[in-house]
Amino acid sequence: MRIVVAFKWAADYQEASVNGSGEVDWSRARPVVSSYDAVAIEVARQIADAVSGEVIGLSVIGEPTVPSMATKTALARGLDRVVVVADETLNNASTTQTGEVLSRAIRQIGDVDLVLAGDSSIDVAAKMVSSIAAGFLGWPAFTDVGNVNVTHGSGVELTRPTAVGSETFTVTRPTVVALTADAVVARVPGMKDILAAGKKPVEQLSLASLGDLESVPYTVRGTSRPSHGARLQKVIDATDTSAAVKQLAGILRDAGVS
Amino acid sequence: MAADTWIIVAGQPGVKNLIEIARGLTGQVRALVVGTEDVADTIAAAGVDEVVWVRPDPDIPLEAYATTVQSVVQDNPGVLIGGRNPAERVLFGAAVATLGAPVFTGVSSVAADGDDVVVKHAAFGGITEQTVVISGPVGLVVDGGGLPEPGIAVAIEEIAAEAMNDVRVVGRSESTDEHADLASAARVIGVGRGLKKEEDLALIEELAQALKAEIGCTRPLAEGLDWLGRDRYIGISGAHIAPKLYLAVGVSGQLQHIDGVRGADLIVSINSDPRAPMTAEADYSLIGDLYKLVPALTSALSGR
Repeated sequence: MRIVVAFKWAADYQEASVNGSGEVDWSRARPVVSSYDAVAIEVARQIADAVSGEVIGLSVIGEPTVPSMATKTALARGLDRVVVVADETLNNASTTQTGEVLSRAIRQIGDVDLVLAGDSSIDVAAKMVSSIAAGFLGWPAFTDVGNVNVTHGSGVELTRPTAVGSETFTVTRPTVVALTADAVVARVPGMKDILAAGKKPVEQLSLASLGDLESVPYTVRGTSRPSHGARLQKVIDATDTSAAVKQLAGILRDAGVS
Repeated sequence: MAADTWIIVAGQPGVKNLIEIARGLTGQVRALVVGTEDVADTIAAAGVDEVVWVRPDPDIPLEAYATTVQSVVQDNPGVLIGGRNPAERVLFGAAVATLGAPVFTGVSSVAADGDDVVVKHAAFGGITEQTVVISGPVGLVVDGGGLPEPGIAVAIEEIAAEAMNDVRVVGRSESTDEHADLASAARVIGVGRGLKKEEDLALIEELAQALKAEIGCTRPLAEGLDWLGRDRYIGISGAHIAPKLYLAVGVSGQLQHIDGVRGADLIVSINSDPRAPMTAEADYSLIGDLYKLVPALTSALSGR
């Protein structure tokens, strides 16, 4: 059984800084393998160990060369090998382009039974890439999945929360699954894992080898700082509980919300 | 490009905001509904020009109809609008891939500009706003916004539903918790890590009763601590709410959370830390101990 885990070497947007005109500065934000992706790698490892499968990490990087930290960090979490599509033209790739490149690379890897991904990236946070990649592949996708069980025949059993509880269903492979952040607790790599990671294979695929992309490009016309600074930001000292509460009750009444 | 629009509806009809965004464009508004007949009927009367309906097998998850959605959209490309629920995102993602359309989340406005479409949206988790121009198909992820106002119904065209792979539901469990509908609530209390113990939720419940508010929470309470259901998590990857009042209790105010509450008319924070980012995101902040302030506020609102 061959499992691909899509992961992203990216920095958390909370560590980026934004100037007055809404331009984002990532220079001091440190890229990581996010905790979402760590969960996906862990789930893949556990499945592969149970059925003697292979776990291949797959990442798309907008740089000409692959940072060795990126692959080592991911490999130390339990991948068997890594495939990376690294190309400068993918810097600021759209969510759809990323999904398309992943789908092409998955085809190139071949014989993939299962694609796992985290719930979200930590820089763009659109939560769309896994569904889009599946759309390009023509495979079914399921998101918000909390449990993956592959012990059953040629299929996969998935469990996920619904509006009223949870549902479990089976799906034949191949399929794409995005996991909830709490599906499992990801292991913390030990020194042995980190040392072993340096010896595992890393393969770089050129973007050109994947063929022309169909994704439509777009232009950014401008940026602006979000206008949520429009809040009143009034502080009420609540050392005197009853006075503060009385004041708040008055505000709520005046606003017509109590 | 004539900005005809497809609204992708999956399983639930709470797509008021999607229709509003679509109405801001000049072309026809078509809805592609994968869901029960009730959902299709509600959408047909929601102010769209056309409804194409895929009737799913009740034992097959909606996601399995992605290729059916793709074939419909392929014949008639345009602007695609989808919601944020799991099945909505998957069917929308499939449609987007078919057209190779770029996708934008956190959309605040859309306008046609000649043959182009201009979209203003919150990028990178909402830390900045981008205005982007697309001269081709585009996908917009928009928060549902509750049920649309019923109006005159248009005809529904049913098409054949063909599920992908072999997907079948083998078990369902229902939790006894009532399903929270934060998106349409007028008053929402958000609880954060300032609450020390799960039992202390009783204090919040009493306040919610006095205020007639729904209870929501930050991500750790729903996904790490499991104190509240995931349907109550407010934030970038959870519910996006637009109540008249959002009362944040013991919420530090991380950007991920704030992104989900920007639509609130009035934001009040109760927090012991004046330096919590929530203070800057609120209209009024009570700086003090929530364990004193919450019960006192409950009493004050109950008129005791």
